[in-house]
Amino acid sequence: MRSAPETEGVVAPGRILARAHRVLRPRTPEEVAEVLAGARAEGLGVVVMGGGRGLPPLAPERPFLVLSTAALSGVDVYEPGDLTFTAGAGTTLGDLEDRLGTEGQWLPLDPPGGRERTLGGVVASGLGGPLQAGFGAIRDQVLGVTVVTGDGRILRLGGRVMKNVAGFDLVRLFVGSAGRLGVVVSASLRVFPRPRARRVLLLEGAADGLPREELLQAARAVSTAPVVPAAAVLLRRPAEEVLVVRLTGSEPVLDADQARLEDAVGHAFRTAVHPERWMQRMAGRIGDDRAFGVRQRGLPASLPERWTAWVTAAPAATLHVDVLGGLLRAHLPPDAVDETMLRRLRGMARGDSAPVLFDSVPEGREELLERRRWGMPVGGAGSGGADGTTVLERRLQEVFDPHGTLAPTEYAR
Amino acid sequence: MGPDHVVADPARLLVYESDGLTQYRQAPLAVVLPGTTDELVEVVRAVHGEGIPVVPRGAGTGLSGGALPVEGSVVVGTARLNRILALDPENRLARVQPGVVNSRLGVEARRHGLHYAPDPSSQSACTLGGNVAENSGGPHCLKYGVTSRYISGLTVVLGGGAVVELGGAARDPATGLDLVGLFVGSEGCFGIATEIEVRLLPLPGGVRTLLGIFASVEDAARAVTGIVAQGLLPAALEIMDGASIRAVEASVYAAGYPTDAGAALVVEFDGTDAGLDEDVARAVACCREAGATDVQHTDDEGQRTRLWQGRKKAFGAMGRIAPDLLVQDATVPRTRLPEVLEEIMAIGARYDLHVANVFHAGDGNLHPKILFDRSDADELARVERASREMMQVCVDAGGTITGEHGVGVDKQKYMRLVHGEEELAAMSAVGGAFDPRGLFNPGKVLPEPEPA
Ligand SMILES: Cc1cc2nc3c(=O)[nH]c(=O)nc-3n(C[C@H](O)[C@H](O)[C@H](O)COP(=O)(O)OP(=O)(O)OC[C@H]3O[C@@H](n4cnc5c(N)ncnc54)[C@H](O)[C@@H]3O)c2cc1C
Ligand SMILES: Cc1cc2nc3c(=O)[nH]c(=O)nc-3n(C[C@H](O)[C@H](O)[C@H](O)COP(=O)(O)OP(=O)(O)OC[C@H]3O[C@@H](n4cnc5c(N)ncnc54)[C@H](O)[C@@H]3O)c2cc1C
Repeated sequence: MRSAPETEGVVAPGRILARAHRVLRPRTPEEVAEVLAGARAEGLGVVVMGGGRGLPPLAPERPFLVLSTAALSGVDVYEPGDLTFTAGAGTTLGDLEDRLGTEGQWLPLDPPGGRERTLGGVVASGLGGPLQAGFGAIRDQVLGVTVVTGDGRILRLGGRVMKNVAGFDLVRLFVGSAGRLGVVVSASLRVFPRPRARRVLLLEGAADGLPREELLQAARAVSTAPVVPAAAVLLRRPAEEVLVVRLTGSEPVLDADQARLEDAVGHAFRTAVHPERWMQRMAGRIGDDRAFGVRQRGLPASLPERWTAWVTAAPAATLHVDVLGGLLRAHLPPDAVDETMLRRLRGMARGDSAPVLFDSVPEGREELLERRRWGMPVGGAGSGGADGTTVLERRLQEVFDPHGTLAPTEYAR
Repeated sequence: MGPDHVVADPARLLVYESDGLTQYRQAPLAVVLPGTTDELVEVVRAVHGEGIPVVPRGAGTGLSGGALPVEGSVVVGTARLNRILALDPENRLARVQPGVVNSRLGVEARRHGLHYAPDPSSQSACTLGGNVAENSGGPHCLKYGVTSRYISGLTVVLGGGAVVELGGAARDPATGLDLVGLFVGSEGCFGIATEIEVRLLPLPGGVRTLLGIFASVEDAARAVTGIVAQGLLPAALEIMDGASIRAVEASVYAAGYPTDAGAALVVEFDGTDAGLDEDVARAVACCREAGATDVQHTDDEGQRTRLWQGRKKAFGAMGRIAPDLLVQDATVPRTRLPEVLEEIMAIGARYDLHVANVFHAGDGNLHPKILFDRSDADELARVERASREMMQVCVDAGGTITGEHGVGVDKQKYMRLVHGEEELAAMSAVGGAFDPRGLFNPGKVLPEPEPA
């Protein structure tokens, strides 16, 4: 099923801008529609960019312009008593954090990449980080979105209420649509009261800690324990393996939860002295031009098996696994990846159900990656179901972007 | 499929003529009750092959006419598709057939120390297929969220009998569109869910229930505002007004709520036991500050049932007072609750209708209940007019026309209060992507296009 590797048009996130015909920053939904119409008239595709921190690495093959949401920013409505806000797509998570913090509230999202990520980028990518385990996925926090479809219609979907079943749920469709159906210009989300206290627990493996087998068992025990932590991540650098668990609540709750987790795990945790530092590491590393970045989802119970397989296949890799959510992310230094390694990494894929996606590619190494267009059947252990899904996705794309103006950047497989 | 599972006898078809919203009735051509996915596929293929529409049906407890037969349709019931296919405590997942009753999954999960969070008040009867189609909520959805949060994968039968696998717990959102999220809430218009993968949660370590009695709904609503402002996140925050209290106390379900009260507020906290007493103490203080005349709380299971009794039985109790009962459903931003409630009661008074309110105060989800007698044509007309005005009030307050019961046939007429023509056209086109021939539950949810 795989086509021969193509190198043309392959660029990493930082280099997408360099290939763009131009970068436009519309300020209103109407201006977004104008940009889309203008691009179509010129025969250009449109890459939608928020903070640019999470753009899949492969640029479109055809000529394109970049639509930046930077000027669609600002908090429009914030009702602390309703636990909701509405803000422009270009609003950064950093600004939101500051604003919500003044009312003792927060957005429990921790995607990798710092305060420069945008609300639109997080909503459109549908990726929210390990805190989703404890607080719900980003798709569950989005109450409404205003979007401009690929063909320029402005749609106001959902609303600002907690429960809403007035018609088909197009809000869900746009969460995670990653610039394939339209441009998210603003979004309404629910927020949470900021926890009274938090604690980061550590359990070390590797050199001066538990044998790997036991550390993996401990990680599994955390995900089947009677307490659901806010987040739990297993981290690896070549000389370090550590299980990191984040708890939230009041002090007595933290004590009790820690005791119950230790009971389930059979080991005592160490309390992190610098929780902020660990929380940043839990969020994970953002893609950069200096490493090969790979992601693979799997069920939580497959963690020990997958961990061992990845450590064996790529001993030089740093690993980051969301213990509760099942997402594994690996980063490899450029010199550790050659054709053989690449084949090995691809060999880790389990057909459609657990593909291996390259989400970052170092400068000058694009030729190693073959191109896979979004929307094509992935092959491998493909079931009839995958084809049916592809047909549905294609039809939905035709509904919102009938002229194919949007040209999303893509992950490599 | 044997004749036992194909119903065409008019007498036996009677029970399928309506769902929980009994003012709409329509006999289907036939009802078919497949016992396996293969039979379901066969049925859909055969019926669609004749160009005949299919209306999916779970337990028929829906309150918006979702499972109401369309004229000239075949109803496909899931009553025999009622197996729990797998329960996987290691991954906290279950895979079930659509006819599995909500509370039965709860019972099975409990054996593993787990639970299925969405708990519609109809949970002892309604099915997971119906819950998926309606994206149902329940009293505990304030903290836990509604059905869609717990559905990780679906196997669906589409038009002509094509079977498609959507999502799956291990699916990476980076690989494509969230078709599961889109299917949830599609009210039987996209296809039939034949297997449902749900997420389970560990049972909470402890539970505390608190009942506050207030002189007025406004006071109770102020207590709710205070609780939220404290940064507390209860599992449930439910209010019933004086009219509802008196209906319950006059019924066989009497729960011992004082009949001269203006409102009762049920607050429930769950989670790690060590933190609950402090949460309760803070909530009690909020109630007292808002003028509660009485506050009781408990951690005892039996007492808990008693405190909930009035809230849980309100619907049944009211059903006994009048020949007909219309349960309205709308959501408003929580901070607007007091004024919206006041306006709703004023509308009821203006149309000389008996209105009582029981609602999920935490999510701003209102359920005004209108008692009436259908055989009184004038009263029926007043119910219609009052309902529309109530919807308008909620929409004007920044809310919406349904929070959990769905649009079905009952709320199509209100869809233009919240959606523009572009949005409606987009919904219709998305429906067409799943069901190009329009043979699943046609004519539901979306209103007729505006005459040009
Ligand atoms: C190498 C790498 C690995 C990552 N791994 C993870 C991970 O494991 N877990 C995780 O949670 N996150 C991950 N991310 C995602 C990243 O953290 C988020 O996508 C990021 O928060 C997006 O914010 P941004 O503003 O930078 O968006 P951008 O990077 O600008 O855009 C992200 C995606 O959304 C689209 N987009 C952006 N804004 C809009 C809009 N307004 N309307 C429509 N489409 C839009 C873009 O086209 C792009 O597809 C990863 C990112 C990278 C680069
Ligand atoms: C006393 C009472 C209390 C209630 N409390 C609540 C509550 O607290 N919260 C709440 O949200 N709702 C509540 N409801 C409404 C109702 O119970 C829910 O909407 C429930 O989910 C319907 O399930 P059902 O199996 O009865 O579905 P049905 O009524 O049979 O069908 C509902 C819709 O689902 C479709 N459908 C059914 N099965 C499938 C399937 N397998 N695939 C695709 N479509 C399907 C039907 O076509 C129809 O459109 C209550 C109802 C009653 C009578």
